[in-house]
Formats: sequence, C-alpha cells, structure tokens
Amino acid sequence: MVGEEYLPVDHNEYSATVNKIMSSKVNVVFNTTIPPGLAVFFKQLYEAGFISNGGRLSCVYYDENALNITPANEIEGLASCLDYFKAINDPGGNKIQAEYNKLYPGNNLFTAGSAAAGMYRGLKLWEAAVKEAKSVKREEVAKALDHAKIADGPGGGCEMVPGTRHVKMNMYTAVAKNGKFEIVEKSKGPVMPGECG
Amino acid sequence: MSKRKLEIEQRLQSYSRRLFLQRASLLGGMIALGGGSYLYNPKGSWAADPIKVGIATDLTGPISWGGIPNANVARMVIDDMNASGGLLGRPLQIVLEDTATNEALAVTKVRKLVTQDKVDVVLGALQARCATPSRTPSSIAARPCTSITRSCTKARVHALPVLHRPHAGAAMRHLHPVADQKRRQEILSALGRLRVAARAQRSTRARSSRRTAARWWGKNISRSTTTNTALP
Repeated sequence: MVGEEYLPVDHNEYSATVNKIMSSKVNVVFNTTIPPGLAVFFKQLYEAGFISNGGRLSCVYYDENALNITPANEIEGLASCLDYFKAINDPGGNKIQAEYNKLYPGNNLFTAGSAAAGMYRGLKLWEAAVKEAKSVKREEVAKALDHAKIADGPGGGCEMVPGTRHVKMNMYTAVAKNGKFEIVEKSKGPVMPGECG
Repeated sequence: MSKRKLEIEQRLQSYSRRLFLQRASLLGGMIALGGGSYLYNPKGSWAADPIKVGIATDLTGPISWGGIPNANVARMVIDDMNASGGLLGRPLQIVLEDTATNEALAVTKVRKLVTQDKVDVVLGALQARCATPSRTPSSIAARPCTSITRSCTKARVHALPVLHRPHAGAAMRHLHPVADQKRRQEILSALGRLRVAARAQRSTRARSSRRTAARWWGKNISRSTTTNTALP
C-alpha cells in the first residue's frame, strides 16, 4: 500500500491527492469518498492520465445509480463488490426490478449501493420476525430477528447470523465497461459479515 | 391610463412583490429547517390500528440519487404487504423523513420518528455518518423501537433492537464531560493514534501502532468510523 488519505466528507479539491497518486505510480485506487466530492476526484484523476496509463479504480458502493454520476470513460474498469447487480439476472431480482420499474420509471433505479436492495431485505426480514414473534414489540422482534431469513430476494436469499445482528448474503464483483456493469465473480454461497469488513 | 387602472396595476405589482417575498421566506424557512416529512396511509378501510414504519433517508442533498430509490422500494414493499392483508391483521403506515444528507438532521429526524411519531420500527439512513449517530441512546432509549439499517458495508443489515455501539461523534456528544472523562480520553486517544499513524504510513512502528489502534477501534467503537473517511 503506497498511501492512505482521509478527507472531510465535503472535500472537493483533490489536486494534492491526485499528484501523490500519479507521482507514486499507483496501480489501483481504492475509493470510499462519496458525492459531492466523488465526481471531482474521479475527474481530476482521469484528467491527470490515471485511467489512460492503465490505472484501475475500485469503489465500495458503486452501483447502476452511481454510474450516472460520472462519464463512462472516467471510470472505465472500475471494480465494485455488492450484494446485487442487475447484470446477475437472477429470478428474485428480476421480479423486483419489473415491479419497481413499473411503479417508478426513470433514473432512480433499484440498486444495491443505493441501499434499495438493503431496504427490501430489511423490511422482509423484519416482516418474517414480526410474524414469528406475533408482536411488534422490540425485544420479541429482536429475538425472532436474530435467526430470521428470507428465501428469495435481490441477489438470492439471505439470513441473519445469530448473535451478530448482521446478515449473510451472496456477494458479486462487477467491473464497469462502457457505462455498464459486467459480473466477473460470484461468491460461493452466502458470505459471512466479517469477511466484508 | 386612467387613474383607476393605474391603482389596480400598482396593487397587483405590490401584491406580486409581497407574494414573492412571502414565498421566498417560506422556501428559505423550509431550506433552513431541512428535509420534509411525509405520511403514507394504507389504502382501503381497516378495523385495526396501523403498524407505524419509520423511514429516514436522504431524499435531498448530494446523496439523494440513492435515497429516492431507498424510499421508493419501502413504499413498494409496504404497499405489497398491505395488499396481502397487512401484518398480524394490521395495516402498515409509512412515516417518511428526509434526512437531507445531513448528520445532525438525521439525529433529529430519527428522534422525531421514535418519540413523536411513535413508530414501531425505523429503517434507513444511507451513510454510516447518518445511520450510526441517529441510533444514539437518547433516540432509542426514549421508547423501545426496532431499528434496522444498512450501515458500514453493503453486506450487512444491522438489526439494532438494543443500543448500537456509538459513532465517535455521537459517543463524545452523549458522554458527560466530567463523569465520563475517562471514556472521552480513551476515544480521543484512539483517534489520535490513528491519525498520527495514518500520516506516517512508511514507518513500521507506525503501521504496527495503527493496526493496534484500528483493532481497538473496531472492538470498542464501530468499524465505520476510524476517522472522517466518508463511508456511504
């Protein structure tokens, strides 16, 4: 690891960081910054020649909605790992996509990085817990939620890992090519929460 | 132009100016107060009281491109649940709060959901910096309420039936300056160790120190808040 930088959330001037990246001949930039600074950072990095020199980007939350933030050429080859991409073409995800697109056509897509997939799972897991507990009281729901699971959903089923308050689910790695994500790797079954930290 | 017409024109101009100023001040007030609140009642007539589902997400601000689909899918799932008979024979009602990509507002909005709207569950918050502090003791302990959020990574749905390990800022904010002095010093010390170590990456000793600090931080505070890195 050549370097690591932490910046304020609203930071929007990355010249010093980009200079450091270019002068250190960095191969991969692992990004966790978010909008509004994100588009500025990727643009400055692109204009400095990072992508054309063979550099690769990786971003922890980049999904189909985020693809609309930056021009496709500025993030060519960007790698992202999420619990759902439209490109995985799974039956559960396709069914939800169809219903969502019918109700909300436009640019606000059903994606994982934007937490729409997480909201779906959260509500469904809570529903399963309430049905088991036959109550909406916190302690009773919490007890049932500890082992709640849903058989199908975006990217496949998922289940709570007892005692951790976290969910295990399938994970997918995708790469941005010409403004679209292509799946390059799938996890072998649900991934434990600790493996994604 | 007759005198009468001139008077009418002047009155209209004055009215337009006044209307503009009124609307501008209203808009200014809305912006100053932050995002809006929305209530989605179940369709049809129900005998039982509704289960209240609180959603706090960023409908405005730089992260609204993620918050809007987040709210849309909540409405879609709740409508489906209501269409298939509700939950435990009761309809579900959504109380949606716009946290406007603002950490301070997120705390206020979640507190409102829990204490004022008396929701049965809270879901949402896109960013760790909004999700974690909004689950502070003062919000949750005020009234028992289930809280589910996507927090540190996409691979997790945090189910927070009891208190979450607090965000650094939230922890500091809710600790007493005198009674909790030791805890405050621990948090500040860990933060300091991380920052110093991050500045001196090349040093082996610093790397070791950073790893130790990070381990402490992960164990004692929260995975998402090592420093002010913007985790969504």
